[in-house]
Amino acid sequence: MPNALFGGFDISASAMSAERLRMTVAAENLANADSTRKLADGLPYARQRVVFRSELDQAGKATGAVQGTVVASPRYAQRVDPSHPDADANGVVTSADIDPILEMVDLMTASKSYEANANASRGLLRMHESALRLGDIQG
Amino acid sequence: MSQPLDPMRGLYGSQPVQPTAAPVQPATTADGKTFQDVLTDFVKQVDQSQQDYDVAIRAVERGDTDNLHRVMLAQSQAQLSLKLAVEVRNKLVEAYKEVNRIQF
Amino acid sequence: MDDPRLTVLTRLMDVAVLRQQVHAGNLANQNTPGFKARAVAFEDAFNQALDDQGEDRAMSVGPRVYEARATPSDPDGNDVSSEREVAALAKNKLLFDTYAQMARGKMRLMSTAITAAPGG
Repeated sequence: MPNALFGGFDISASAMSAERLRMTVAAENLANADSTRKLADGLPYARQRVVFRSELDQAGKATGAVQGTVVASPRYAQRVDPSHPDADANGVVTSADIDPILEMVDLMTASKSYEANANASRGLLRMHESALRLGDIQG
Repeated sequence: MSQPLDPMRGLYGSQPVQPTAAPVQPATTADGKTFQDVLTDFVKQVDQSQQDYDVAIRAVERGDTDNLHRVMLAQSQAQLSLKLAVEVRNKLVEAYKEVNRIQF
Repeated sequence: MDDPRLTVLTRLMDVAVLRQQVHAGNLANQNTPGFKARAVAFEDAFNQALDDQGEDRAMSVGPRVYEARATPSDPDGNDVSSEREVAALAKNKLLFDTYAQMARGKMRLMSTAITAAPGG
């Protein structure tokens, strides 16, 4: 059984993990925004996104913790450019449908969320330190 | 030669000192408790606070608490009540010594 | 724990710990589709019980976690406002620190009273 004393920390830590995943995925999307190179499955890089899910306890109630899962969004943009090295037989070039602006916004939002959750964690630590001082009234 | 004084017979000899007619009853508080009762209750309270502290420690050992403040309060309460017990004991010992110094 | 002030302060600290978890949970789920922000109800019921029934009976009042529904929802159903949650966490932390300080102060007074008792 997890230590009940750290429940609040687990919640904030799960959020920081999820937001960090979101930042990693957004950065990856940005890096591959114009990528047309075909991968193993014959398609170019597909945009990825992180789906957030609230963690539930045995009774089905939200614990407050959150989980992030990476999901592929296989939407592609296509244009005609026969001279392109990755053009197919019909001269069509396929790339992931990635809007750099959206990815930047996601990156910044995730970063802010990450900080907010880190602050919540720090606040809880201060609360526990405050509680610890109750044990020594002479000091 | 005059006889040494027999403390049991006193100056006037004859009868030894007799106890008074009725034994003295211990004093009681408003709700009928004697000093001994009060002391016993007090000792139980001090003991209880030490036990509560032990319970709190065990909960922390098992990782079984989310309320650190309760654990810490149990710690301070145990310290306080023990401190009080020591002070009361000191005062009782002083009082006992004081009574012993009284010459009859 | 005999002192009624300490008893009440301890209960208030219990509630503050719960509140931290609930609002940290809201903050953690600010991007979870469909998540509804929750809050902790306690003080109103507690103070009412204090007025009506006195301290002993009021101690049986417990905190209640509920969906606040105090903010508009996003298209995906999430209604968490991170500004609100950050503010709630800050206020809650301050209250906890205050309760702890007062409890500490009370016990220091008791400690002083024990050693400074007259009649040596």
